[in-house]
Amino acid sequence: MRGLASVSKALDVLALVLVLAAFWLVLYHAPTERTMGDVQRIFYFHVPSAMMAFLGFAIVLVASIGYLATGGRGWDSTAQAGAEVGLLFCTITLLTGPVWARSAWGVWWTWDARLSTTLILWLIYVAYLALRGYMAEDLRMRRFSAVLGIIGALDVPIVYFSVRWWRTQHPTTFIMEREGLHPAMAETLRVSMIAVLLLFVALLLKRLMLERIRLTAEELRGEIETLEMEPPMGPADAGGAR
Amino acid sequence: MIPYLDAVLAVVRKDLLSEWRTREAAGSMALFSLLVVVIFGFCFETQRIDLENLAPGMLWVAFSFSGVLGLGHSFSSERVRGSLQALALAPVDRSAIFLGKMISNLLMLLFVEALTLPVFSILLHVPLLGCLPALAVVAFLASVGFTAVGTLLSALAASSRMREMLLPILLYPIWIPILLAAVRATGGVLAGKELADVAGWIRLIAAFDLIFVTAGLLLFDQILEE
Amino acid sequence: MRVDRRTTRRGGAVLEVSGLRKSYGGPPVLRGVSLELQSGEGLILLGPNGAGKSTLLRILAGIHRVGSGTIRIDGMQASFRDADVRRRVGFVSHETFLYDALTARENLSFFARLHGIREAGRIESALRDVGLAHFADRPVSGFSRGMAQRLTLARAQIHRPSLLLLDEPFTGLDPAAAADLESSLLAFRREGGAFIMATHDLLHVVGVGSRLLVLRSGRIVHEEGLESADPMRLEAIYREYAGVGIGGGDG
Repeated sequence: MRGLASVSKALDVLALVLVLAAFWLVLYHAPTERTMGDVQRIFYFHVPSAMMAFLGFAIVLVASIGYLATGGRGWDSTAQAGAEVGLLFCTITLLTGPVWARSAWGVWWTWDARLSTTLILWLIYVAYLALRGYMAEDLRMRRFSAVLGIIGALDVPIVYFSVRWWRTQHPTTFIMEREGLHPAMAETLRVSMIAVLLLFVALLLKRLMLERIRLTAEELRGEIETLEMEPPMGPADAGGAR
Repeated sequence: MIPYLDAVLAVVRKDLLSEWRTREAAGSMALFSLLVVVIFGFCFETQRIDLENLAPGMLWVAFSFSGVLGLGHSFSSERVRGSLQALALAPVDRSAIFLGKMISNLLMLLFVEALTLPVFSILLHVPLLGCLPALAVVAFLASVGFTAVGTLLSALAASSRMREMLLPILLYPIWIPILLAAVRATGGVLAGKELADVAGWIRLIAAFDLIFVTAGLLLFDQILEE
Repeated sequence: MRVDRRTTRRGGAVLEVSGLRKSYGGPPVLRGVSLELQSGEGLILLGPNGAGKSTLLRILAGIHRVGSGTIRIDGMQASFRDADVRRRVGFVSHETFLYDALTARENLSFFARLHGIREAGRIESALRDVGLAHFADRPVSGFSRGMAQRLTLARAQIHRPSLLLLDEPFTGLDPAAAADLESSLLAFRREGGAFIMATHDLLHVVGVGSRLLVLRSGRIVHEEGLESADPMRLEAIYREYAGVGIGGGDG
């Protein structure tokens, strides 16, 4: 735990430094995009956030399978942390997307394939966290949310194909050309990608450690309660204690 | 294999028999579906309803809304006297219980859909006769997927504090992509296209069915265990 | 009438539990329970709410998973997913598990089919055994609590289990229905079955049980034979161990 805490601290510092560096690069290093102007700079955080959202949801899938297979509590905490942090980045994606859309297409929201997919995923994982919130915290809640975590992830490819075909059926598809990225733009994107990834890992780790502390506290509380309830063992003590 | 199928059929028969006696679920589902159609009729200009875009959306909204009612009832009725525990006690693989519940939910939904279609056709002036077989294929396949994932999630939601409130919140986000596919396929069919012209959507729905029926069979055990 | 009830070993241990532990993610509910039950025995489980009685019964029934420890039923190692084990266990709770819209016969034939039983004769004789033959075609929604409980007993025994588990079965029964339940349980023991019953109802304990266990905080804290015990002594045991005034959530 102590080792983990120092790792986490180091990650925090590193993530902070890199995020600041990325900010600087985005503002001063990357050239202004020709057609969209300065608003395009949001792209350096929008795209990495979307990727982190997917990473978070992939963690939910793997951890949910892990939980059902082993019943280990750590898997459940990991799934929860993955969903929460993934949802945070998903929200960032959904908030930065419209800013882009507004200046690119003149509307705040567009039902383009990527944004729509992100929106549906956001809904699925809000439902996942809602389920966790609405159930008493016990083995059943963990199992149920693992089931939902798997089902939600199984839906992702279907969402992807469905939304893509739906958009291509409509004539109003927007093609985002990303070719011919200026070298300075590519460098900036690379740095911001690493910065956001580090931020993701740092947050995930923090969430996991927090959960661990909470669970330990709960266990201790449970032990105190049972100690208070414990009957003084009478002489008639018989049968099965170990 | 025989005891397995026997258990599946026993659950289907039990559900349908209960339903026949009480007419609780299918009755309110059908009525609700009808209401949605009527509400659409009042809300939109029905003389100029867009066959390819608006009509299929209305139809599937009606099916999805009434479907969720039936799914919610399917497991809340098993909790009235605790009978869900008796199902868990049965000496069969628990996927048999899932399959039985899913089939009875599916039959109920198909029944409601069959009742809704003529009303929908007449009230909203949507000609259906010509494309009925193709429409039936689309509706059947999409309903299989809906009830597969819905049965699993209904069992899950029924064991939580929020019960029926939770079910649509869990179900609809997962259902959206297939709703989309069903609406597109239905739109194509209503516009006079052949099934082959909407084969992409049909395949997507079939893939969804396959994935979620399998998931239900494998995961139901985790939910039935209290 | 029901001579062919148990085809398994007679007179042997129906149930052997050793070192059973269980937690639902919080503090442990069962902390190492061991017990053995012979054919023909009736075990009464006493204890305050939250002692783990329901949990123990549910684990034995295969509704809940074993935490750690072993369970053998009819000499077979029981695991949670084992259908063969569930075939040997019947479960009665204070809920009936019946379907209100269906008739008595339809309820029984549904549970019979779930257990892979197809003979109609089994259902008729089960209805006769619990005295419901005349009400076979009435929907259960019209049954009194006592009738529903009798049908529940028939439901729990339709597959002729060797172990019957009962969780507070006397809840809500009038004296006549309680007497019916008592005599059914005694008949079950005579035919070589064994049962475990969790109850608060000391009045009915002496008549039907052969042994008494007191469970508290997930441990067995007292055990004694019931053949010669008198109600006053039971009352004292109950006060001492079952901890009058100590509450807690339901186990």
